[in-house]
Amino acid sequence: MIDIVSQKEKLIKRLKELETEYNQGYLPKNDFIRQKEYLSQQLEALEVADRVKRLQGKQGSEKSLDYWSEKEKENQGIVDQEEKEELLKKYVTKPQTIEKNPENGWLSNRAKIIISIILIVGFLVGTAFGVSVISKTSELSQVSMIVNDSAFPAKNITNITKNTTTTKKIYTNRTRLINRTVPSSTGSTNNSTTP
Amino acid sequence: MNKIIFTLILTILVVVTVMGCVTDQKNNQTNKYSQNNISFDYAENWRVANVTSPYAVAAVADPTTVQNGRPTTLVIIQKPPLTRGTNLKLAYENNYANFFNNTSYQKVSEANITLNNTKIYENVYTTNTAGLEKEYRVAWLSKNQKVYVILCSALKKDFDREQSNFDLVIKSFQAQ
Repeated sequence: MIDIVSQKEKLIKRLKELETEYNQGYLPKNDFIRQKEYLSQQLEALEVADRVKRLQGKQGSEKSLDYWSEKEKENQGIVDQEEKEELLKKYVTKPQTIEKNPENGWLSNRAKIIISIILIVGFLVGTAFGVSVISKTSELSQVSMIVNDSAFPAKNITNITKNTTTTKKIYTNRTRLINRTVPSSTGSTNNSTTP
Repeated sequence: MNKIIFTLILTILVVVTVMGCVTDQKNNQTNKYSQNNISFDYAENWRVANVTSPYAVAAVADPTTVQNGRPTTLVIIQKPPLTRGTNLKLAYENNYANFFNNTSYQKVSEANITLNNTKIYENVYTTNTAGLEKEYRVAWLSKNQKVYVILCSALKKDFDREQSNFDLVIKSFQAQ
């Protein structure tokens, strides 16, 4: 096959050279026609031989370039496929089917019991807290408190309470009457009026 | 199915918890005092106290602050008689003219404020009696040509914390 291809190439090359010589005027027309017919016949014969060999199924080393290139592609494809399968085997794992076990389920019986206990304890604690707050409030409402703070100073109060004092008539040695106000409380004031 | 039930329970728990917290925060209800021709609001956990102070018409106190039988956090409403020709300003000035002289009272601040078109004279002072440090906030105001004195008091360490309760009484105070 390689021989046929190389011979075909040689014949094609020779035909091109012949045309070039003829175009440049180095070769007469009669010679050109004769040589061209000869080369064309040879080329045609080679192609016929090639076609016959293909039809006979003689593929061995004498196969067309297209065949070999396709063969190479097929081989490359097989290699790629193998690599791909290897990678899939290496990194991609099939998900394992999970068996539904009631003990290992999403909400196991143990979890249900724990949640129930938490709810019951929370309810009891909340109720106890509420009862204690209510009783505390009722206790507070019964508290009796006494307050005696004042915004007024003691002196002021004494002055204001002068309406509860008694008036005494005091005679001085000059026999002049002095109206002195004496508070009944302990805090004494000297609101004396002089004539 | 189990997942749905669990999610429902969890949702209910979360909703109840959140609602509880919100309700607790909003539980700032108040009590209303309305006697002796005066009315005011006071904190829900406070109670009406018996008052022996001069000119006192009402008193409320926090029962949780009782020490030696007396509450330390309290508000007293006093209604001093006005002498002829005296107004709120004069009465206030006369009261504090010698208030801090030779006494255990120590003045902290003094202010004039206007609340709902009502002039209020305010005096803040502290005192230390028998090792008990107390702070006072006294608001003087006039309603219907009568002077009312709102005495707010607490331990010095609790005083700032109780301001909202004092404000509640002062701001809601009304006299007929």
